[in-house]
Amino acid sequence: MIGKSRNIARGRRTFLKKAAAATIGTIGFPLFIPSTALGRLGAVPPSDRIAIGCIGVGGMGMSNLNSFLGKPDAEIVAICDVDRNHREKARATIQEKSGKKGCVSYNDFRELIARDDLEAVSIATPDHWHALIAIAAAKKGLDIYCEKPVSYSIAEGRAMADAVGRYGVIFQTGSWQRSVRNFRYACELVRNGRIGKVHTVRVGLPYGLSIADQGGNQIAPVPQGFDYDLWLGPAPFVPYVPNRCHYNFRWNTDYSGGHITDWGAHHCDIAQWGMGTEHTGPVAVEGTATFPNGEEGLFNTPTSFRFLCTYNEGFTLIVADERQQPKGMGVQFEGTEGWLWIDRSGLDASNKSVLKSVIRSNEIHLMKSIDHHQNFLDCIRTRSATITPAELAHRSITVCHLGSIALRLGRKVSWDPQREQFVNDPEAQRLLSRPMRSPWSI
Amino acid sequence: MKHRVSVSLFTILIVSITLSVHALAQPSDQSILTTLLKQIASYHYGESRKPMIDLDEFIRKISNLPEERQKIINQFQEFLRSDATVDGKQFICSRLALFGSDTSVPLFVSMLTNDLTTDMALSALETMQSAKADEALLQALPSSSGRVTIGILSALSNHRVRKAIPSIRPFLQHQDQSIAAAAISAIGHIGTLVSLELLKEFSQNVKPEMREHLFDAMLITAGHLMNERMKELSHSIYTELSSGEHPLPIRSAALRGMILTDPGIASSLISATLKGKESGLHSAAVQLVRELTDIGQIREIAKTFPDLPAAGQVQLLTAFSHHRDAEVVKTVVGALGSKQAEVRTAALRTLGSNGDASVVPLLAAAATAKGFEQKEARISLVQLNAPGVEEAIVREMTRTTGAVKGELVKAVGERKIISALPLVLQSARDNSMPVRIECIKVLRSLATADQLPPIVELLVLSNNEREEQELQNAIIAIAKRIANPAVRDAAVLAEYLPLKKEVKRASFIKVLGKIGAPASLAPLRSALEEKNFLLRLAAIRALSEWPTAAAFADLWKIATATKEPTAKTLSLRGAVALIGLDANRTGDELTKIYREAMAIAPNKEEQKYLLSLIGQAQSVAAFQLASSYVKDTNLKSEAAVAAVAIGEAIAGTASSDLKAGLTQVIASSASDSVKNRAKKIFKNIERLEDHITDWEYAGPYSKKDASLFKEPFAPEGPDAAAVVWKLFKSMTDSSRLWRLEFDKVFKEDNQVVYIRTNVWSPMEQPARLELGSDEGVKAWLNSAMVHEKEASRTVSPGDDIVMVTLKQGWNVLMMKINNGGGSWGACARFRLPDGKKLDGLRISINTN
Repeated sequence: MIGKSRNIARGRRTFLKKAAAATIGTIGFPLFIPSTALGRLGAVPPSDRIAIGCIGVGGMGMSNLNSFLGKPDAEIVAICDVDRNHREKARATIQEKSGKKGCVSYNDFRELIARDDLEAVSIATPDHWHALIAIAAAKKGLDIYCEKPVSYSIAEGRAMADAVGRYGVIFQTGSWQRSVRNFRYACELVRNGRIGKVHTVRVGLPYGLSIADQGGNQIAPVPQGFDYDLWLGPAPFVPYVPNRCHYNFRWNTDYSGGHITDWGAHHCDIAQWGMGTEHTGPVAVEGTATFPNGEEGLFNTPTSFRFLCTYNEGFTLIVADERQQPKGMGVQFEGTEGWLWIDRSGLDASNKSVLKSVIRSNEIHLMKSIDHHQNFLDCIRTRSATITPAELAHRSITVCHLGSIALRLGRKVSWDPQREQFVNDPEAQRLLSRPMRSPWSI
Repeated sequence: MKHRVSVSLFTILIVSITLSVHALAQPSDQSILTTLLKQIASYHYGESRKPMIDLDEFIRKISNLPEERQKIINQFQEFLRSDATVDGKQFICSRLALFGSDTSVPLFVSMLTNDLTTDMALSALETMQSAKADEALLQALPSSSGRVTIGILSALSNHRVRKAIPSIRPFLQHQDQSIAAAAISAIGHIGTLVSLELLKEFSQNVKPEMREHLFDAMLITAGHLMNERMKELSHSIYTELSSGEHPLPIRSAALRGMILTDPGIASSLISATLKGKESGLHSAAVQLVRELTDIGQIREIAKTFPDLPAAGQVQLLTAFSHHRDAEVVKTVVGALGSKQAEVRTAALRTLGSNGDASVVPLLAAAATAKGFEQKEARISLVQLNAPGVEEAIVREMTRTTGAVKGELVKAVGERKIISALPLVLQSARDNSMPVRIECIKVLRSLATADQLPPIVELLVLSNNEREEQELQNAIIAIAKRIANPAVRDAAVLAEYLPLKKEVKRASFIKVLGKIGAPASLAPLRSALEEKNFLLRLAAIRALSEWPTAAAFADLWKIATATKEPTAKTLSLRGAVALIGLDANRTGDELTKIYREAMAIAPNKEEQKYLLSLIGQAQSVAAFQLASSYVKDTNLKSEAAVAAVAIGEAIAGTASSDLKAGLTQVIASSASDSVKNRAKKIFKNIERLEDHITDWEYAGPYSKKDASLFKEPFAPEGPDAAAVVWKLFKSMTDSSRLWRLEFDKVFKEDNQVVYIRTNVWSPMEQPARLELGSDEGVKAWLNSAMVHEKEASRTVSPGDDIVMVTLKQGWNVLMMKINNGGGSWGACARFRLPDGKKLDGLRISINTN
């Protein structure tokens, strides 16, 4: 799968890379697009609102839906979910918050993206659907907000980033930590050498599995109003089990990658951002993991894990569950002049004065976004790259996928980040993608 | 779906496997593998996946042993030929696909024709990514149908199997649209010259519903040809796809492709598109401007700027942000004259990204406007990054006056241009007050100790209230940045001590108080004796903000002695504000001061204020003080709120002492909210009375290679009396307040902790001790072990029930809980032997 698009990608990325260099990690301030200054200084008339269709309106889908509902320059015109309960809840929310009745709902995303009044879609399905839906949306010229982790596999991520580039659509990934001041500031401090030359980056992710009981682990009849076959989509067919689906899909490798991809999509992304390796990746990955014993018959993503990623840029990224990292969750950059740690709970450094450091006008400034969803809308209007575009999100999640592959194989793998291929490793190469259950394909 | 295996067939399989394998790495490995395969052979979804997990681990273990791998491949193939369950086969098939060899291909092909194994076989052949597997798929294509056909087409597409094109061709016109679409997509992804010819031919008779698939396939083919250095051919495809009859997304993509394959036409193509009437393509064109790197082309495109509508101008200006070029900047500067506010705003924003030193005067002038334009101009003035920008800002400061100069000073501060500080200090005496204010603000954030004396001198000279406030704030901020606290007030004291003018002295007293340097304490104490009332008040205020409790006695003395209401109020407030700074003061002492403060407070309002402070205290004494006022008609609301706040904070550690006070609150409060909070505390207390929440702990302890549960650590050893016990408070889960959460406090695995408390019994009596623990527990009552349970479990109340005898008076209960990893906790309570409530017990970590 990866082979078909590799060459296209290389040519296009070379072209884009020059442009990206102007916006990402630039000396001086890059473009910051305030939502109040986009040619719409006052109230936004309905005709000027960005029409969005929301695909997947469960947990994160509703969170995104609510965010877009709160934006005066966006309007949700349609929703889609394979679960009728989700659809009804989403419709009720839209009616309650916007006063708009009769928002059209769909069971099948293909019907939603076939509408001719859409400008953008929000995708918040389980991971194994992201690439299929995003590519279909890109072909329609729709701009895309896609939940993290952006891809189920490396090959699907590459295909998605290529399609986004081919059609020139705007793409925002739900790795929203980039739109939080502290995370940006931490990365700017690192990029500007406040802790010296960084030799190690530690990423701490949750330990164990956060299983939410949705009705048990036993095979059961498919509930009324739930299109289970469409929920499975490209994943292998297996009988319905309540705990397989909503939320818990994260802990089954048929649909996701566990905490490594679920949280790695946030923290590994910050590691890549801070180190300026957003267009590349590690050259070698190795580690160890503990997997669930499988007695409940359902979950198989690692509960405890630790893997090392070696970068040609001269540093090592150590990704591990929180119990195997000195500061638990978060991202810790370790340099010749001290360490800097960032997490949602705060920012810390070995040298406290670093935390008061001002990034001067003539230093490296990263793209600034203070509202992830608004950044998406603003970039749609200005046709600018978002703060987490598909290409960068693909590179960030690739780190996580590589870790998962190395853990699954139980040995070291070598990676060529330029070609996005494993080096002399046919077995690992086969894990770049997971064939889709027919008739689904990208 | 279930296909159970008969015992006889499976026996044959196992024998077959065993015979087919000569030897694995170790005899035990063969045994493990055989056992696992036997279990998987009867596996059905919903059952334990442990054998699969174990097999994966087994595979990982032998991954570096090629000979052993081949043997396992053989066994897996045998497994797939056996009567094992479909569910079991699906697992084994997926693993064989990952590390199998071409020898497995015929087996997978044979599985394609069985409906039960089609999906897994297709997946396996695609996963293998080998020429032999692709050949097998190609051979299977003509006789396939339905989903199998689509699956094969998808695999051939993903592997770009060039020789598959003739075999795929018949499917382009397939009546099943899904199959036709898959075929078109496959041709596009294979992406050769032959593909292109076929797609062109196909386009002559394409059905309308297949058009989008065709165009997408052509785009993908064009991309492949471009990367294979057939740019002209690729360009021609893009050109064709850019024509009007194609859907907008295809045309937008084609526009990008045309520029990728012939960058030289970028400016003319983009300009033409921007000038064109097809507004749908404008956005795509603007996006391409942002991505261009040839500045000559950007300049050409900039010429179209005046002809664009306002929305297009805004987009183009945003795209220009990435291009630093004098000609482009000229266009942006020209946009500042637009009649459209959004265009002017976008231009100001763009200049912040691509402007140079020459735009400093423009931005400074624009920053004096109002609204969005002012905001954007200010941001750009700060963001502007080009050689000579900071010099230009400083230079302009010397040339300008009034509001423009003020904006430049503001930029100096935001950009932290330290070299401009002498000029800023000089400008702090400017004729314009707004400029002076702006200068003082900059000094406040940037100035150092060296610049403090002239700034203090400004405070002496200032005769404007606003300016004086800014100077006070600046002096305080600068002084606090001085590393040595002992000298922070030196510059201020130097001016203050000889000062005669009383109003000015009051201003300095305020500054000295906020700096809070030790040397100022004596002069401020002296100021308390001033004849001038306002100076005395200023001194009280200054000491009220003192950073230590050193000024408490001075203020308390005034509060208790003076009859002047304002001085009394301020000094009382100041004193109580400082009492918390004395770390050595006990909770009871604090409450004693509060009690006296309530007594001397000049009026009810002050008592209400004091009650709000008392509500922040966390002691039983404070609770009792607050609740003693709930019957006071004027104070009952504030007293009830304070009592409830304290009750919520300490309910977990002093529960039984609060019930009387809470009863009073519930009876007398007029607020339902406060009543409900009190009732909630009361309810929790009732739950807590039974489960013991007052604990001390010792440890945690650990010892390498020892059985921690059995190991007698210090609390159960001969030196127990020397053990240091500390208060244990972590019971944070409000729904399970009975649970001691050791894992919230102690982060290491493989440890034990000891906890103890005292239980007062009014008489000698039989009782039952109900325990729960995660993991094992030992319990001692009055030094005698009464219970021992080694277990791996979660905490559940009453898991263990132990009959004990409580002696009259205080009894000591001690427990030991071990933990190997993960959650760690315990709970305990005493009941009557029949399980009913046992009244009359008191629990406390203190027995005095």
